[in-house]
Amino acid sequence: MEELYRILRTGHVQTQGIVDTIADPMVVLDSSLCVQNASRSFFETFQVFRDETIGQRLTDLGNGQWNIPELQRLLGDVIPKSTAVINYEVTHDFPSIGRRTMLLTARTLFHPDGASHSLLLVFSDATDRMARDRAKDMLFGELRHRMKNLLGVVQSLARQTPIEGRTAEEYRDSLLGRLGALIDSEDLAFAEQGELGVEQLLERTFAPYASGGANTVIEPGPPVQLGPRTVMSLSLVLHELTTNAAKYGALSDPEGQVRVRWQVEDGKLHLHWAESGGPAVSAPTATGYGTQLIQSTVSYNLGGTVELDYPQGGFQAEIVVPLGTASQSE
Amino acid sequence: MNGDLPEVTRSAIVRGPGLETVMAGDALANQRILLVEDEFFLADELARSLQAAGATIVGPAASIRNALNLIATAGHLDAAVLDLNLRGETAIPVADALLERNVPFVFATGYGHGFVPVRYRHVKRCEKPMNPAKIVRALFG
Repeated sequence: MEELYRILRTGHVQTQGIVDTIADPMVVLDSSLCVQNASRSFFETFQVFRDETIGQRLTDLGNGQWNIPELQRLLGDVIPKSTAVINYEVTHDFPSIGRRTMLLTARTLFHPDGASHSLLLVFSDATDRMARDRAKDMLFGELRHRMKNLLGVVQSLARQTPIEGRTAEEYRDSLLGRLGALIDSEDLAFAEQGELGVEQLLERTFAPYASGGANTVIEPGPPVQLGPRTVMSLSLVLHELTTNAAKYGALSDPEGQVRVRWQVEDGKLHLHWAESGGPAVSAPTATGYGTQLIQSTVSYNLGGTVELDYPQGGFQAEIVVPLGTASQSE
Repeated sequence: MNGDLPEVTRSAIVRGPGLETVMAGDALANQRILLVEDEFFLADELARSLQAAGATIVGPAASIRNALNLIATAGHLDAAVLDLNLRGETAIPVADALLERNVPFVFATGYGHGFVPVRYRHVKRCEKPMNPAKIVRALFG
């Protein structure tokens, strides 16, 4: 008799031990839906005491916080017709822990005597996971939109990059250069917050031409945060200026120099580009696509102004962009 | 900016992405279409496609102010393509001005720019970047 008691007791302790190791809150209900037992995580999760829980009807627990119509439907209607219910979703405002989405998994356990049964009910709190999923869906949607936009820009660049009087190779190089500027701006747009500035953009633009000499000079300026859209537009503009300098301007001569400085005045970014030491400069007779691209991008996309000057000593550009627009993301 | 765009032959056939962008060169003959879109490259691309199908482009306008100004001064408009989000501002005031003048329009949408007042729920939306043939179907059925 004592031996039997010992085994039963051990069995009980073991069962309780198993119940307590389960990470998700779990209750055992009898056939009249009174709580026979509950796991430690049940008390912790729903912030209720053991004493006020055991022996109570589930719907009466904790000032009726479990008095959920969906749950009653599950217990009264769904469960009797099936031996198991898996991940039944219930969203409810709990008084102590707020609005949560719970996935309920239930199973009926028939006792050996066949006359009665218990119900195992496991609650899995899916609130955080679902919030993460939603955030991921949003990010995915944004990225998809961004990618489509970017391809729209690529499409336009491919169509507008001139073909007249050029070889296929020249066209390809010219287009690839512009795509490179787009790729750089994408890299920068995904860089850590605080690294998305004018200086980083200039450094990237000049990287292919920085041959160790002083042919490109970035004068130190105030930190300016740029939104992803502004980065894209400015990156394209700086690319045009740089390739132009490499083809016809100061960067086509080992002695030439491009000097860039910027400041912020009245909420506007002033970027000054000055070339010197290159071949003698004369104003172009016709407006090429590169110049159009610079002007349209600055005025149309950034709501700014651009002035291009062609003094004999070296080409100069002054770009003014309102930062209200400039720092704003898409 | 309209003046910057080169003349496009009217008989040109526009081949953009996908099969549905093939339009006859005169599909939009004599149609004056207002474009409101704040990304230059997308506006430019769409303008050229619609011009190639015979349309006259009014704009494009990159801001609400410019769009309202064009609606007030540019004369008759047959249709409009309206970006819902212009530099962070909602383009609904532009939609109101178009509605007042009975100008049919479609919304061009990006992700997360979904909020539209009830009175504009029926307006068709085209996801950006826009497929010119889809826009034409949405506008002129």
